[in-house]
Amino acid sequence: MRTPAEYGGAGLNILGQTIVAEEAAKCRMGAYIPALNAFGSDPPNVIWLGSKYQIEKYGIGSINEGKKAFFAISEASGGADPARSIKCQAVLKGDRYILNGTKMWITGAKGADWGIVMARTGHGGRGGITSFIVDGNMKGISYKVIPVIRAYAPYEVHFDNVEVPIENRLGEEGGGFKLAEKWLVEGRVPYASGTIGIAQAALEMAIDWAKQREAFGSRLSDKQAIQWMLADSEMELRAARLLTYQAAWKADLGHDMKLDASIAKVTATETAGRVVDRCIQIFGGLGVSKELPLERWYRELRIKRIGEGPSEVQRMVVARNLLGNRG
Amino acid sequence: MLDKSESPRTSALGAWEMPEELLQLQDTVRRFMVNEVKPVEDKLEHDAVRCSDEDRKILQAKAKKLACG
Repeated sequence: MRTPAEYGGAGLNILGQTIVAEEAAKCRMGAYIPALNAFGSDPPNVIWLGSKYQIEKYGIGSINEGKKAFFAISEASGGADPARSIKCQAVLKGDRYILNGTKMWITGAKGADWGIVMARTGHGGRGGITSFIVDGNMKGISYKVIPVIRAYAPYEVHFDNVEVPIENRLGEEGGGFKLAEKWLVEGRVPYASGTIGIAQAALEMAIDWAKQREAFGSRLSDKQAIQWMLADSEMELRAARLLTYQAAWKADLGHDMKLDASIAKVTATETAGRVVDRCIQIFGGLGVSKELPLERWYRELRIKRIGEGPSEVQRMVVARNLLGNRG
Repeated sequence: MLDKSESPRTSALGAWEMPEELLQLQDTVRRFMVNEVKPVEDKLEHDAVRCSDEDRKILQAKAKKLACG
């Protein structure tokens, strides 16, 4: 969906992606495998900023042959502050870089055909980070599953003297942080929208249930405690959706949308968590059973407040903007 | 394909409105989820992380026809 039409993708603008993301998330595995992957999976957007060779081999290869890719930033030393926490090293030797280190929490790593890895090539800070494209089966790469709260587990990816050809460096040396930021910021809007879709589906289930379930001589929908839960959920979802649309709209107009993306991400993910929590409360015991998708959504939405930049980092972006420090 | 000129606009009354093309896209995907995805997902276990390759290929082929894949 996100891939430009010139490379064989649907070429949807960000608002279009946002709308599809909301609807495609409305299924049991929708938090991480929207629409059961019916719409395919796009390669990381920054591949389209690569060389002709990189675009053809990795980008277009992914579209035409369904190749899967991962994106590796986080390490055991931290994920929210990559400029300081990236320890993975890449040292240029002749016509290749020697890559060493370990990445953590990498979704879809094992089995992926290729991936983009952020590694340090220079001094500390943003300017010392460079992006590399690695093939999933390169000698020296190993994977270890990390069991987590969700069914779709991420991986630890270990690089032991992995030889990466110089033509696989994505962008200039020291340009990796900007690429990581582009991937993260542009991804935050559809990411936010997916959580709204799940919460909307949960709310619709809860409304149907409240209208049919009886307790203490009347339907749940007749009780003010339930009505207010439904009303609060509707109001919060509308607000989150409009903030997400606004971020998408600004992106499509070519405006700087980093602030809007952060606001949308934190609002949508936190709203979705609250809404699904309320819906479980309305369902009672059935809400936490595995008969319904609510139990799975509740667990998987919890990760959304951490992944792709935790709520605290999004609030930091907002606060810096308010206080005049836009870094 | 949608481009930047088809982003949300302000109507004569000042109300924000979604372009018709995006509303159609929303409706198309919504119906696809109910009619195509749900029947496949209903066959899977609660914590499944994928459907069969065969089902996925069928779904992707149908999505492509909708110009969403």
